[in-house]
Amino acid sequence: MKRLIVTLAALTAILLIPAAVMAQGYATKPADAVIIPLGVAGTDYSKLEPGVRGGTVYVGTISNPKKWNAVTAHETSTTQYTNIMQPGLVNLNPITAGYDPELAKSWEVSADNKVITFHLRQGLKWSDGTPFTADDVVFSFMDLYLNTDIETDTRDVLQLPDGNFPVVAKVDDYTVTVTCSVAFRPLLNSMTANIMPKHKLAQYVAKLNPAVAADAFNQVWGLDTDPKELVGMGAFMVESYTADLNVVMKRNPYYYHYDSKGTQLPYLDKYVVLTVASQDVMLLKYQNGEIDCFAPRPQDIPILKPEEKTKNLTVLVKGDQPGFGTTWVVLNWDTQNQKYRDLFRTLKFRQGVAHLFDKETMIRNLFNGLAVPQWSPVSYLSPFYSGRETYAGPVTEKNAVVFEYSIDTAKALFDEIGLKDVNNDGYREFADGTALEITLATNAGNTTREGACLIIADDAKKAGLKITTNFIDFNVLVNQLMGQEDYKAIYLGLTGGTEPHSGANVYMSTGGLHAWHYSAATGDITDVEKRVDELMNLAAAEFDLDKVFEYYKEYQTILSEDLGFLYTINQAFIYSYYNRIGNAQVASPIATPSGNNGLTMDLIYKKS
Amino acid sequence: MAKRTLRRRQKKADEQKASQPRTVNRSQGQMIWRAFLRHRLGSVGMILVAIFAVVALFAEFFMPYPYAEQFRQYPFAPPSVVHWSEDGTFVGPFIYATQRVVNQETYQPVFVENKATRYYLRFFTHGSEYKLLGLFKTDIHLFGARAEDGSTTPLFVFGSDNFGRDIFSRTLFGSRVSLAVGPLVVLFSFPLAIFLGGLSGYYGGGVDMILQRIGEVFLAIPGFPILLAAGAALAGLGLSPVMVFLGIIIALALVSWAGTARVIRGQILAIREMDFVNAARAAGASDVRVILRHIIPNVTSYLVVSATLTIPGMMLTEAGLSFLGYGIREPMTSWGQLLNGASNIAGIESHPWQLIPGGFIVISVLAFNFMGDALRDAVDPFSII
Amino acid sequence: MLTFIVRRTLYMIPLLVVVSLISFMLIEIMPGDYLTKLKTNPFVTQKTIAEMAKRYGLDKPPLTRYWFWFQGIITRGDFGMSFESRRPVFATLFESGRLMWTFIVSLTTMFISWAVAIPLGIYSATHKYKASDHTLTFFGFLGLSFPSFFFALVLLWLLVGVFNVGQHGLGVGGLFDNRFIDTPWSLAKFGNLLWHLWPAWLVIGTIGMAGLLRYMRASVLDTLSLQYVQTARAKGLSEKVVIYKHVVRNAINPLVSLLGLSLPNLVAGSLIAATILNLPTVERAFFTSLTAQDDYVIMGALLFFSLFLLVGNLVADILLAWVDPRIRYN
Repeated sequence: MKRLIVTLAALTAILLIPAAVMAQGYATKPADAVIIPLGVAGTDYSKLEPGVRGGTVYVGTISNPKKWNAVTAHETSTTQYTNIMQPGLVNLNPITAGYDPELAKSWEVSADNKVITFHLRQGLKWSDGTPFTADDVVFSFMDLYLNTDIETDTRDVLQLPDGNFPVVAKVDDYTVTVTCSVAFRPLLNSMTANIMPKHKLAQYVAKLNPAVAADAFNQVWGLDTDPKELVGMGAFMVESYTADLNVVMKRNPYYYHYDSKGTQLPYLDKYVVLTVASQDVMLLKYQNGEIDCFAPRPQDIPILKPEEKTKNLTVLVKGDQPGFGTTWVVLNWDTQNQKYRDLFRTLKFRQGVAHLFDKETMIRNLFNGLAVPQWSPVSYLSPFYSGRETYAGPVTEKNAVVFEYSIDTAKALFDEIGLKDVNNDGYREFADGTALEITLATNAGNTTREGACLIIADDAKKAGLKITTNFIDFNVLVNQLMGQEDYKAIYLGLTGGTEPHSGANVYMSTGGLHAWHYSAATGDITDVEKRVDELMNLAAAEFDLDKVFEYYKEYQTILSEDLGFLYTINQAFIYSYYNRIGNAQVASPIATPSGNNGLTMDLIYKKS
Repeated sequence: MAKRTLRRRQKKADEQKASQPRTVNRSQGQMIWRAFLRHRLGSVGMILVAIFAVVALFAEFFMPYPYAEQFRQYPFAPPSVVHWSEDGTFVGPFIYATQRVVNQETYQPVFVENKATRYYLRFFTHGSEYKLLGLFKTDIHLFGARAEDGSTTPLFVFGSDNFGRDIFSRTLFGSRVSLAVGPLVVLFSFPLAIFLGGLSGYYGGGVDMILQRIGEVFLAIPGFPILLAAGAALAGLGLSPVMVFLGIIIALALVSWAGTARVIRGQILAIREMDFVNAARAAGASDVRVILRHIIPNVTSYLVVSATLTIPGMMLTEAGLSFLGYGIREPMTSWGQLLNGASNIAGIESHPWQLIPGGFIVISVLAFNFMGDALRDAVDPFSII
Repeated sequence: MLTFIVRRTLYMIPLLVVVSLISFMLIEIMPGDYLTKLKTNPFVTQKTIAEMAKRYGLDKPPLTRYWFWFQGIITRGDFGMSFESRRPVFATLFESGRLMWTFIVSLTTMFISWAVAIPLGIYSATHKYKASDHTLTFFGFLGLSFPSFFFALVLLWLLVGVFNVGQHGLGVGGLFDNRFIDTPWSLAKFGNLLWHLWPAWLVIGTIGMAGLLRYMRASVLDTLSLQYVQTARAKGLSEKVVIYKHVVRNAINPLVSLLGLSLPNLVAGSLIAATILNLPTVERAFFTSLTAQDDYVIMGALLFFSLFLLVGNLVADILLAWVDPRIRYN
């Protein structure tokens, strides 16, 4: 009898202990948890409000993800999920566009600016309950991102100006140091890199586990993986995936964000992303109530606005706030024909072309009024934008380098450099009489780009400059842009970020995307380019943000004046959501609930 | 016999001949033409196609504005409203100038009429200069809108697109490409299909095996990547737009011949065992003659239907190719392209007049179809109308 | 007949090899490759791209790459990996039951469109030039003159904007409404599936129907004017028997060939309608791989479509011989 009772007691204990261990979530709020002060006056989040737990929100996306591996991901259709699942040491603040401490709670920079010490939050757990420590951080950087076996875009971003890479080392369980051979301020922005769980992934890294092939990690966590295997620190983890239809994400019970009332975030139980291949159908599904929030296109606004009252939704139009990224015309300074080379390198010619851009018509006819003229290589949203007067100050546009739409000014400039219409066919020729014709190429199928080219060509005709449009396959266009095929002019755009240094590849003379003047890398460098290189390096080594702002201000001014890229327009921010979604008004060009960086998903809640 | 008897007999013979119904010898072609004309819908179809062809040839005359002219202040303008009288008095057809005003609440643009000036609808008016048929310089257009003081305002019969380009003008200009592409592809692919399908079906055996396998290779690969690749190859050659267009036609023909050949082969397999074929062979006709003169006319039904079905398909395929960057480039246009640009929710809800070119596709397709029906009936020796 | 079938099946193998060669050439002619899009990413250096090229084998000459791929199939049955997702080619094409859904959508559509088009074609022919014939003709060509995505879009727009189906809790596009995601099968779920499938039948079916209707009509008209039909009528047979027992059997010849040709459409057709209607089909995976230039997935898909066409043609030829006793394959 005694033995029976003991056995029963033992069995009960054995059953209960794992149950206690498996009870999901923190028993008590961790001391180092991130507190989001929703609705607290005087903070960034004062305009939002604390919500209630429960419910599912549906958003839409165009493409399927390609894998669940954050490290080897190449495109946004994948990173929109992995960025939610595995946050980094720091993360972008969706309201201020600054960098907030995320997995790291604080950091210090050494006196010589070469060593950054990160203090990690303590007592946090991965989504499967394993404790989060400095081992995971060191593993992510040294064994994944900086491991040459592994195919990742992040390695380039971590590279220092002198070609070396930083060294990430563990000091203790919750402290790591990042040591650089040269002072490199932008490295802090690269600390948004996803931190991966060592306990799940170390076995796939050949460097740590010789039993697997060198390529093994590049294939792990593909779409065939059982979602239960995916582990992260983020707000939601993937629960299921059905190709071409949907991705279902469920709440991570060990997420370390709490609101000021002590409620653990995220509020939502589930976050479902519907794959809808057509933007038009996404609009219809939104109107039908199947999608809760979505980013409309300018032509959708007149359709949605009247439905605000009838369907109880909100349409946000911020007509003066563009998104990240640049759109421009580039003239090839290295084109094969010597005459055109000389012409494109003449500043007055580029200025004349810049005066041909009728940005007002482009905004009205292509974007239904919902776009902003662009003058600078740095995004409007960046705290370093030269339209501000101080770092992170308000935008006043006092220093913008503007080229007004003026056919007469263009004509005068063309006359000055000797382009005259000798044979009276309506078009100017070179000074020696040879015909002058510029082909402006862009990718076929992109109606706004095609439209902008047509408008430019039409205006050029008025000034006597012959521009012929050529809409071609995107891949052919890229080949031309990369300098592998000859071209005269291209109309294209690039993505951007808040840190101007992320444009190093484009604006520095040796950059791989220095599209208008690749020969600068081999010695044919102009004074402007020399100064741009100098400024970039100065700004990268400087940690005093006000000084950095001055460097970048000059950088933007001389680039805008030099017209390597002739900027056009940028779409303004528009968004729409049903009023039953709480805190959806946080949507901005920096982050939206249906956007690609998953930054606001933990704040959204379902109103009953 | 006496001369008088002879003359009397001659006269009687003449009278007899005169009272009998005359027989006239007509060639097969003439018979087919008359049978065709008896078919009312087919004649209507033919007239429509003829009208379209004339308009296409002299398009610049019928178009009030050049196809690429942008009236930038009038994006997505609705069709101009033609007034006939002002304040109760009849003055003749005229329009008012309009102004685009955007409702700040709903972001919906509205075009408000400015009743200050009347712009009268004038015919054979002066407009932009062009070369009629590519030869004669002139600036006369069929119609335009002009005020008493000579100023003009754009007259949009079908409304305008997002650059303020007149859709009516672009529809007329686009007819050149759209009307040509279908018949041209048929012209290139059908002879090939008939020849190879005929050989295949008639001879059977080894010839059939080989030709069908070759055809299967063409059929197996979905047309879409072949067209993409062909388009990319053509684009790389830097040819003039006309040559590119021809190249696309040839690519389209190459993609479509195999299907037609296969069906013809199937029908020939059935026909070749028939008595009249054996009879022709027994009479000593060569194989080629048997195929061309005896068998092929019996598959005409299928061919005619196939041709009339190919035409709309080709119109749309050409538009799809241009959308991807191969083929006709902006600002040049075709009906299919115009329809592509209009086929979205904003188009359907906010500016549905952009869909009018689609109507032209339907009408021309129906016209070709009825012509085809009439042709089929006219050629069929057994049909009873 | 048996030797015929065996010979045709054996011929498929060299044919597929030829198709694979041509497909490969087509991929080569298309400008750029998988890495081209990555080059426009301002954060990625040329060095990284060169490394990736080496890893994917894209730096080797075309013939070498083709040979490696070919060898892989012969020796290991390995059709290659997708560059995008790093999974085997057919796992990428057929994931999440795509193959099953493709068949379900295509087979049901084909069945319905044939079941509607053939009787309508016969009716059209027997009532030649009457109002009903013209009406059918008009709607048939209406269906052909507008691109399929336009129809799909207008249909969905009608459902959402005009009929407001969202108010009744019904969704558009995809296979199921939101509330059925990840739920087990039930009668309600099956009903919901039908609600999502019928637009596909309408849009995809309409296009095929127009052609079928015209071909059937022409074919029946041809046969109607033949002498044995007059003989049958003279014999005193009812019109119904004449049509269905004599005419249709002979008129159906060209359509049997068409059946073989339409089989590849089962898996490779109606891409655009499937995109708008958001149906998970193999051709969508193929199109994604085409735009991303995911070489081996493209090859795998083309081989798959080709196999279907070859099988379809063989079936059609067999059917042709069975239906029409005049045909001999000698």
